[in-house]
Amino acid sequence: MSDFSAMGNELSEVEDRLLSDDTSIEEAREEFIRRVAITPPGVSDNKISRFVLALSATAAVVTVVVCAVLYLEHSHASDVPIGRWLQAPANGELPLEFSGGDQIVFAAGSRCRVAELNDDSVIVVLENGVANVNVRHRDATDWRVNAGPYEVRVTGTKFTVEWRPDETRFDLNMIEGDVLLNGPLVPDGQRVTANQSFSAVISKKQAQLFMGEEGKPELPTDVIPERKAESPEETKSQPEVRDVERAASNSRETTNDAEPGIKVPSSAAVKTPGWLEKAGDGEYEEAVGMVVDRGMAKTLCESDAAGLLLLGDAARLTGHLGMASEAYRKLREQYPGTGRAATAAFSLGRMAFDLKGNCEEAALWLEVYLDEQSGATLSREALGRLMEARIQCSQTEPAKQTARRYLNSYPNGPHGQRARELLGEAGQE
Amino acid sequence: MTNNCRKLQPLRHASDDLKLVDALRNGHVDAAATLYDRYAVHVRKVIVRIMGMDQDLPDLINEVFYQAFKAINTIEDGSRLQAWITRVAIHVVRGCIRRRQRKRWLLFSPEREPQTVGIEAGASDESLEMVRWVRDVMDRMPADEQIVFALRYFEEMKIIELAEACGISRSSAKRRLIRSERRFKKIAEKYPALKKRLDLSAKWRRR
Repeated sequence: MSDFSAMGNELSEVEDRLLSDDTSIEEAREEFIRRVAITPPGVSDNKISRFVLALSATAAVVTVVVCAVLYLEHSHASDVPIGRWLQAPANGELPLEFSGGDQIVFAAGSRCRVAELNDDSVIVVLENGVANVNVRHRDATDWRVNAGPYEVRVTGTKFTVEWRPDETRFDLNMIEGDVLLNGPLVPDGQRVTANQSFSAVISKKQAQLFMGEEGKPELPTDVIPERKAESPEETKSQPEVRDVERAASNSRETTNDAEPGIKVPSSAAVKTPGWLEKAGDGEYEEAVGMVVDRGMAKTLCESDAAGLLLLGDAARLTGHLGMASEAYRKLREQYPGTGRAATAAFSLGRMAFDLKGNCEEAALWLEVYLDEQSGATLSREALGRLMEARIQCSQTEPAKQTARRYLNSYPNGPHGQRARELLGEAGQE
Repeated sequence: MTNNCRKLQPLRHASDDLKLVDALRNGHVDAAATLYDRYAVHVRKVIVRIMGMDQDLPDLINEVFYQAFKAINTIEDGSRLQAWITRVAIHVVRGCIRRRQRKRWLLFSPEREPQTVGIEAGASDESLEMVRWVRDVMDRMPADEQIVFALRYFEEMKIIELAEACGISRSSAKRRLIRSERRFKKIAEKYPALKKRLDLSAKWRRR
C-alpha cells in the first residue's frame, strides 16, 4: 500500500465517522424536491447557448415569433407536453394555447395535464386549482376538461372551472356558450349555460346550479337530493359517481354495509378517531395531518377496512401518494377478497396512472380490480383506464383486446370512441 | 387475489435505473424523489471525499441532484445512472472549488477559508490533525488535480473508473494523477505535522 493510500484510508475512516451524524441529506432533500416541483425535467440551461442567444437576440426573437405564429396557425401547440403534469408558478399564471385560438389559462399554483391532443379531441385534466377556458366552437372537435371526478364536455364556450381536492369542491362559472357536466351529484348529467354557475362540495353531498356569480350561495342546502341506498342495477348504471363521493360516506358505513370478515367497531363502544371524523367530513388535509401526528403505523394497525379505504382516499386526494399507497396495500393485505380490497386495487391503478404516470403499474392494478370485481360499480371506468394505460405503455395488442372487451360491455361508454379508433372501426360506422 | 397482491408489491419504477430514467424524462411525480433517495448517500460520499466535511455540503448535494434532474435527457445509457450522477457530482464540485479559488484570488487572500466542519468529534487528535493538514494541502491544488487525487486515494477508484468519472481518457487520468501526486508532495513538504505523520521522505524522494 502506498503512502497516499494509507493516508487516504485514515482520512476516509475519520470522515466516514463524522458522516454518521451528518444531516445534509435530509436538509438537501426538501430543497431539492421544492426546486424540481417548479422545474420541468430535462430543461438544461446551457451557458454557451445563452451566450449565443444573447448575441443574436433580435434575430432569434423575430424568427421564433414568426415560426410560432405560423406553427400555431397550422397545428396544435407543439410545446404542450402531452401526458406530463404541469404546475403553474406560485405567483403567476400558466397559459396553454391551442390551434385555432383555443386557450386555457391556469391560475397560480394550479396543477394540470393535457391527457390527449388530437385533431378531433382534446382532454385536459385539472388536478387542483383554477382553469379559465376559452374554446371556439367546431363541430368535429371533442373538447373535455376533467376536474377531479367531474367531466366538462365543451362545445364553443368560455368558462372558469375550479377543483379543490382537499375540500372536494367543484365550481363551474359559465361566461359564454354551454357545456355538459357529468360527475358526482349530477347523475344524469347537467347542461350549464351562459351566466349559470354550478357549485358542489362532494363530501357534504351539496350541489347547486344558480344564475351568475352574484347569486352564489355558500352551499347551505341540497338542491340535488342525496341518493339513497342504490339497488345493484342503479349502482351498475352510475359508474361515473366515483369514489370521491364514496370516500365521504365510508366513515359512516358500519354494520349495514359490513363485508364478511371485516371488523366493524361499534360506534357506541369505540370512540371514533379524530382523523376519521375529519376525513368523513371531507377535511382531508386536516385528516392526513392528524394521521401524521398520531403515527401512520398506529393508524394502519387500528383502522378497519372502511377506515383504511378512507385514509387511502384522503391521502390520494391531497397528494400524499406514499401514504395513500400504504393504506390501500394494507387494506388489501388485511381484508383480501372484500369489495373494499378490490376498490383499493382500482384506486392504486388510478393513482399510478393519473398521478405517478406509471402505465405498467396502473394496468396491473386495474386488471386486479377487474379480476376481482368484474361487472361492479367501477368496472366501466377500470376497463377504459386499462385500455388507456396499455396504449400509453405501447402494448398495442393487449390494448386492442381491452378495447374489444370494453365495446362488448359498454358500447356507448365514454371510452367507446377511443376504443373504436384503436380498433380502426371509427370510420366504418 | 392475495397472490396478485403479493405479485404486485414491488411495483414501482424505482425497481431499476432504466425505468427510473424513463420516469424522470416523462416528468413522473415521484421519480425525482426516488432518484434522490437512491443516490443521495453515494453523491454525499463523492463530495466529501473530494472536499471534506464542507459547510456547504447540503447545498452541494441539492445542486448535484438539481443539475442531474435538469440534464436527465442527456444521459445516454440509463442503466449506468450511478456513473452518470457521479460525473454530475464531480462537475458540480469542480465548479465550486474553482469559484472559491477565484474568490480567494480576487480578494488577495492566500489563506483558505475554513470550510471543513464537524471534525471535532469522533476521532483522535492525531487523526484529526492529519485530516486538517491533508485538506489544507488539497485546497491549494488545482480543482482537477484535487479531484483525481481524492478519487484515487480517498475513494480508492481504479484508473479506469477515475477516467470515466472525470470524463477523460485513461492516459489523461494517469498523467493528471501523477501531476497531482507531485503537487501534493511539494505542498505537503511545508507542513511538518503532515510530514511527520506520513512516511513521506523516502518514498517521495524516489519519485
